[in-house]
Amino acid sequence: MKNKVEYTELLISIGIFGFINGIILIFFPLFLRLSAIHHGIALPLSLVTLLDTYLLLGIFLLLSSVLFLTVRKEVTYLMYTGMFAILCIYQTIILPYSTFIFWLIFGYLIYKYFNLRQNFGNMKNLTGMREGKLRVKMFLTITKCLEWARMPHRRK
Amino acid sequence: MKKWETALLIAFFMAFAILFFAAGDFQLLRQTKTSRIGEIVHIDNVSIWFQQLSVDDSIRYMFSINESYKPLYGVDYEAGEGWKFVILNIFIANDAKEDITFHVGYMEDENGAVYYDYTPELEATTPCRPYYIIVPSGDILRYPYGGYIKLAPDRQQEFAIVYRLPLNAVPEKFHYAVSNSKWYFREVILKK
Repeated sequence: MKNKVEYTELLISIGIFGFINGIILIFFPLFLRLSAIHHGIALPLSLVTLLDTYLLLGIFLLLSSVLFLTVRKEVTYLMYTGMFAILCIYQTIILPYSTFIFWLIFGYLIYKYFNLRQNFGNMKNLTGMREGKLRVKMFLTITKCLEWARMPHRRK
Repeated sequence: MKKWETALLIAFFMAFAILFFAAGDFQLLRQTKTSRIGEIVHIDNVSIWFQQLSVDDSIRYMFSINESYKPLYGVDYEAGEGWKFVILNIFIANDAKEDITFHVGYMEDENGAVYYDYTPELEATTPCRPYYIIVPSGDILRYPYGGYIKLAPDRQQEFAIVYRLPLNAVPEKFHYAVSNSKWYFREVILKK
């Protein structure tokens, strides 16, 4: 029995898209900052602030995309959707010409969330059932052990 | 969603928001502090004096094998028609207990155009580098080859940075950074 929600291929692609975006957002500012240091160029303060926020966004986007792809729980889905919304806002402000595709993906994530919500609930019930079964098994094992301990003649 | 999951979700976005706005505040801590030409700036026991700004249509670069050698030969460079050389003289004294590096930044004119320091093209056959320049006053000054000047504790250095600007451009700001274990970003107003 699977304990993860089934994602569509498109959702997995979106997760990978976020992962790649996260890596780019981490390495692009780092590369610029290190090159500036190497060449002894003092970058404008506004650019340094922008690069720092890019780096931060990259770290959080990468983390949320990894959790989105691996853990596949409601909480990680919402984390990634939230981070993607922030990425969309960033894109709208900084690179408006590529915004449409980002908002389209965000819309799909929201649409798919309401589809998958039921599955997330089922998974929770499934986990609960599994925990229940485990408890019963443990109870039976302990009872057997106690029973065995009470009857010393069986040890021979 | 369980309570801890909701808490985790809120904590995740709160952490992002706090760090996001703290990044701006962190930048504010090292915000560019402005000084004027002729003033002395003190940063962590390092004194930087932006002595003067001069303009010329030619400059002489003195080439040397390395920093410890005396200048070997000089080459004159012309700014060219419609261009000028803007020379900024700087004196720096390191009274701190650690090495410091002065990073040459860019010059900005009144229209916001940005110019980087003028580096003469090197001949491939010579191992020499331009380490000194002769400024219009006639002084031979150190040239920050590679875009930076490193100073050991208790050392002083007088040097000059050259920018090539269009003839009608009015230099307004000079941006630079000083680093030891920390980074300090500063700017100098060049307009009188």
